[in-house]
Amino acid sequence: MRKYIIRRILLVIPILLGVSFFSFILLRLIPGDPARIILGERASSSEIERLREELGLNKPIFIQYIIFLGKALRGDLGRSIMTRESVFKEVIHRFPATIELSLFAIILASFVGIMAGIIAATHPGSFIDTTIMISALGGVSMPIFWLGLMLIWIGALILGWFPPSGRIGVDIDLKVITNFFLLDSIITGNFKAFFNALHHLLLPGIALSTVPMAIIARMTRSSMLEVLTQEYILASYAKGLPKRKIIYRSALKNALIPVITVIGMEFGFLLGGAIMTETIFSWPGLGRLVYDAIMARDYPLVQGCILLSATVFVFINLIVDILYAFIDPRIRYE
Amino acid sequence: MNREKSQTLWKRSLKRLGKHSTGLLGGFLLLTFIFLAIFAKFVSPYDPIAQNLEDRLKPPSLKHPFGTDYAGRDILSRVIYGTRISLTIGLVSVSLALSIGTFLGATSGYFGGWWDILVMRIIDIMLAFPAILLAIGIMAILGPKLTNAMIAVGIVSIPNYARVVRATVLSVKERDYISAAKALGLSQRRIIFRHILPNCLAPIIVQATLGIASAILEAAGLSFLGLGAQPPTPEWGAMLSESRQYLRYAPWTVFFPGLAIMTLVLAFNLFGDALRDVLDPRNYR
Repeated sequence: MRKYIIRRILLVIPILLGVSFFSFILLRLIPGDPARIILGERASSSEIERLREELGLNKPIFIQYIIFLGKALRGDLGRSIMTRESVFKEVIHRFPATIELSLFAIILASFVGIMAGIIAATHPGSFIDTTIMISALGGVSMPIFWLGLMLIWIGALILGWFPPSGRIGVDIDLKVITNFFLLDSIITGNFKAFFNALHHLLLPGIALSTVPMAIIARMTRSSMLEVLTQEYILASYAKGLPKRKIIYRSALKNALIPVITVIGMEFGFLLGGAIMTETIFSWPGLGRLVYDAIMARDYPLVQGCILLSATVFVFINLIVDILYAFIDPRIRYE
Repeated sequence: MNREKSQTLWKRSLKRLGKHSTGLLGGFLLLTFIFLAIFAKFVSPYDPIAQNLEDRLKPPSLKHPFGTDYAGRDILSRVIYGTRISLTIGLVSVSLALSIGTFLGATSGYFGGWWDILVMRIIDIMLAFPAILLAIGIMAILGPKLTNAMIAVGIVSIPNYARVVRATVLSVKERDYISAAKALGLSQRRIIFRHILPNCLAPIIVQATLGIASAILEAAGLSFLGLGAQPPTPEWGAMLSESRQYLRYAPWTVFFPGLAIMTLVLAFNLFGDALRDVLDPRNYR
C-alpha cells in the first residue's frame, strides 16, 4: 500500500513540471512582445524595458523557466495588469467561492445521480429506466451555459423564486473569516446569512451539477446491473433476504466503488465547468476571474489561474487515486 | 479469411444498429441536421446575417417561427446556418485530434520504449488540465477566431484518441497474425497501417462519434466566452453570448440556439452509444 502511494505521489512531480511549463510558455507564445502586449501600445520604451526586466524576458528561455518556477514555488506569480495586485493573492482570494459552489454541486449530483442510477438498475428495461437514461444522456449533452441562462429565466425572472446572480444579498451583513460563506455564517451563528447564501447557491449549483449528475447516474446504473447478477446477490435472494436490504446493503456497497472514482474525477472537472457557471451567475469565484482576465487580456492573471487550477486538479486526482486504493485492494496490487 | 470475418462483423453490427431504437433516433436526428446543413441556402427562410431593425426582438410568429434577434435577424435562419458551422467544427476538430491521436497512440503502443514513455507523459500532462481550461489557454495564444477554436478543441481531444488507440494496439499486437506478419518480414509501417489499425476501427469510431458531441459543446462554450466565432457569424454559442443581455425581454433569442446545440449533441451521443453497443463483441450472444 505504502509503495503504491509513494509511486503515485512521485508520478505527480513530472506532471506538475509539465503543467508549470505549459503555463510558463503561454505568455511567451503569444505573438509579439509579451511586455508590449501587457502594457499596451501607448507604453513608453522605458516602461517596456522595465517590465521585460521584471519578467526576465531578456534572459535565455530555459533560465526564464527556472526563475518562473522558483518564483511560483514561493507563491509569486507576478502582478495582475487590471488590479496591480499579486496574482497569487487574487486567485487564492477567489478560490473559496469556487470550492463552495463545486462542493455543493458535487454533493447534489452524487445524491440525485446515485438514487436515479439505483432506480434505473432495479427496473431494467422499464419505462422509468428508459426515462432516467434518456434524461441522463440529455444532461451530458446539455450546454451548461444555456442551462444556466434557462434557470435564470424561469427561476429568477418568471417565478422570482431565486436571486439571478451573486453570492449573498447586499443587505446581509456577514463577517468574512474563511471566505466560505456557508461556513462563516455557521461559525458566527448568523443563520439569516446562512440561508441567504444557500438560496444564492441553488441555481448555479443546479446548473453546475447537471453534467456530473448524469454521468454518475449512468455509472451507478451500469455498475449496479453488473453487481446484481453476481452469485452472492443471487444467493442472498435464495436465502430470502428482503430485496431492499439486498440492494442497499449488499449490492450498493460494491457497485459504488467505480462510482466513487467518477465522483472524484467529476469534482476536478467542475473547476472547468465553473468558468461558464460563474460567468453567467456573476459568481465571484475563480471561473469568473479567468473570464474577466481573458476579456481584459490580463495574461499574467490567465497564466496564474491556469497554473493554480491545474495544480488543484492534479492533487484532487491524486487524492481520488489514493482513496480508491483504500477502497479497492485490487488496485494497489497491480 | 480475416477480411471475410470482418465483413460479417460489420454487416452484423449494421443489422443490430437497425434494431437499436435510441440509436435510430440519434441517426434520424443526425441525418436531419446534415440535410439542413447541406441545403441551408434553400431551407432557411431569410438571409442569416441580413439586419432588419424594424423587426428587432420580435417574438416567435408565423413570419419568424423562432422570432428575431436584437438586429432583427431571423433566428430560425441563423439556427439553420449554424448547423453547418457546428457540424464543421465537430468534424474538423475531431479529424485533427483523430489523426494526431491515432498516430501517437499507434506508434507508442507498437514500439513501446522511450517513445511510449514520452508520449504517455505528455498525454498525462494534457489530461492534468480540465479540457475547457486547456482550450482557453491555447486560445489565448492563437487569438479569438472560429478556426482557432477548432484547432484548440482538436488539440485538447488528442489524449482521448491516443489512449484508446494505444490500448487497442497493445492488445492486438500480441496476436498470432501479427507475429506471422513480422515473421514474413513485412515492413513496420505495413504492419501498423494494414494489419493493426483496421482491427482498432470499432473503438475509434465510437470514440470519434462521441468526440464530435463534446467538440461541438466545447467550441460553442468557447464562442460563448467570446473566444470562438465572432459576430455576425451565426454560430450557436456566439448567438447565445450576443443575446444574453436580452434574456428578460426576448428569451426566445437565447432559447432556440441553445436547444439546437443540445439536440445536435444529444443526436451524436445517442448514435455513439448505440455504436458502442453494436460494435462491442461482448454484446454478441
